Amino acid sequence: MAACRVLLAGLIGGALAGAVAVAPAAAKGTPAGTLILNNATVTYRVNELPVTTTSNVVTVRVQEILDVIVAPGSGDKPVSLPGDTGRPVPFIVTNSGNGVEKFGLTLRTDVAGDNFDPVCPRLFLDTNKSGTFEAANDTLYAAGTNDPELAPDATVLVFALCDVPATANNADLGNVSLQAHARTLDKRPTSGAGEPGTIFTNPNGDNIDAVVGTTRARASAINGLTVAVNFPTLTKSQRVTDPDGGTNPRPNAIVTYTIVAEIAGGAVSEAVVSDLIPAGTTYEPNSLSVSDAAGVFTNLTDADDADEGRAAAGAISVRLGELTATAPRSVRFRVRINP
Amino acid sequence: MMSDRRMNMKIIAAVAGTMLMASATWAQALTVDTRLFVETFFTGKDGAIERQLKPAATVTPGDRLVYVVTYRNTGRQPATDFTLTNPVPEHVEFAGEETAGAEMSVDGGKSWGALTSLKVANADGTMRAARRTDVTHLRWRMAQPIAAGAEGQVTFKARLK
Repeated sequence: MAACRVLLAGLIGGALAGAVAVAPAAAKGTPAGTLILNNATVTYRVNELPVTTTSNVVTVRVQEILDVIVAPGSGDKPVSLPGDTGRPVPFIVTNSGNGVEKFGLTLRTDVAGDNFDPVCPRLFLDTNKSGTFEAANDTLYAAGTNDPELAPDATVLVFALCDVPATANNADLGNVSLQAHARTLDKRPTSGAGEPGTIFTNPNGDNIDAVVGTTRARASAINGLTVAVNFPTLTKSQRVTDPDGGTNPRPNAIVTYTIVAEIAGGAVSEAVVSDLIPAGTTYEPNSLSVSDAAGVFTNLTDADDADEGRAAAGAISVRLGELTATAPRSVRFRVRINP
Repeated sequence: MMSDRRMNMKIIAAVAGTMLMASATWAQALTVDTRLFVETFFTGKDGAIERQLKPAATVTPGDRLVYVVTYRNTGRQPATDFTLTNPVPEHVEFAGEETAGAEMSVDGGKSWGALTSLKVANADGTMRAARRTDVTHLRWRMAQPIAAGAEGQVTFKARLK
C-alpha cells in the first residue's frame, strides 16, 4: 500500500512538471538534447499479494533540427544620399531550429533588379540589442570568429554598412542580400548533402545529432537603400536704400541681399551658401550675417576664421552645417553700387 | 516434444531467477518491456503508401512515435487484478485513438475514463471536453488473470512536440 502511494505521487508530480514545461517547448519544438523517457508500471496480485513491476526505461535523445529564417529589418528601406557612406541596412536572423546554433553570415551586393550595387564591406551585430546601429556598442562581424550563437527562437539584428556611389540618382534603389547558414552545415554530413533530412552525427561533441530541417538551414533576405536627393533651394531677395533714403538703385545706393536656404524634406549636412558680389558693386565690409533656425541674425567677420562666414572682394561664403526641413537659414550681406 | 518443454521450463526458471535477484520480491512474476518506434510512411515500389516502424534511438520534433509495452507472466501462478499504467512522457503528446480496454487520464492519473467522458478546466474555470493532447496517463486493466507463461502487448501512438 505504501508503495502504491509513492507511485501515485510520482505520477502526479511527473504530470505537473510536464504541464509546466509545455508552454515554452511548444514554440519551437522540444529542445535538442532533451531525453525522452518512458516506462510503464504494472500492478497485479499473485496469491492475493500485491506486486508492482516497472518496465525498463526507454530513452531517446531529441536531435537538433537545423533551421534559420532571415528577414529584412522592420520599417521602410533606409534612405540615403549619393556618395553616402556607412549607411546601416538591417536584417533579422532567427534560429528557427530547436538547438543552440552558430550562424555564418555572408552579404551579396550584386542583387538583380535594382539600380546600383551598394558597397558594404562590413557587417555589425546589434550586440546590445538596442535595435539601432551604434558603432561604439555594436560588434563588427568576422566570419568564423564571432558568428552569432542563437538559442532556439532567438534572433539577432545584423546591420550591413553600405556606401552609395556618388553617381546614384534620386529614387534609385540599391539592394543587398544577407545569407545566414547553420555552421553545422560546414561539417561533414553522415548522410545526405545538405538537403532537408541530411544528418550530422554528433557534430559538436555533445552526443546530439543534427538533422537539416525544411529551410535547409540556409536562408537569405533582401533589403536595400533608396536614394532621396534633397536639393536645397536658395531664394535671394534684395532691398535698395539710396543715399537720400529712397529705393533707387543709383550710385552709392546700398543693396541688402538676403538668401534663404531651405529644404523641402529630409536633411543635408555641410550645407554652404556662396554668392558672388555683383559686377559694378563693392562688398560693404563687415556686413555679412547669418540667421539661426529661429531667424535671429548674427554678424560674421569677413576673415576666413573660426566663424562660419568669410567675405572677400569677389564673393561671400557661409557654412550652414546641417540644414533641415523645419529650420530654414538665411544669409545676409550688403554691397554698395559703385559711383 | 518432451525435450522442448523441458527447455522452455529451464528458460522460464532462469528468467524468474534473475527477476528474483533484481527485485528481491519473491512474488514477482511479470516482466514488462517497453520499446519505442518511429513511424514513417513512404511510397513503395508499387506506388502504394507503406508504413514502417523503425526502432528509435534519436527523435526530432514532430516525429510520430509508437510505444509498445510487452508484459509476460514468467511465474508459475496467474497474475490477477492486472493494471498497466503508462504516463505520457514529458515533451510527448498522445496521438492515438481510443483503444479497446484503455482508459485515459487528463489529470495526472487521478481520474480515469474514455477520453470522450473527460473534461479539462479552461483558464476561466469553465470546463471543456478533453482532447488527445490533454492525456497525461494511459492505463489498461485486464478483467481476466494473466496465466502463467502468457504474454500480451499494449501500444499507443504519440507525437514529439
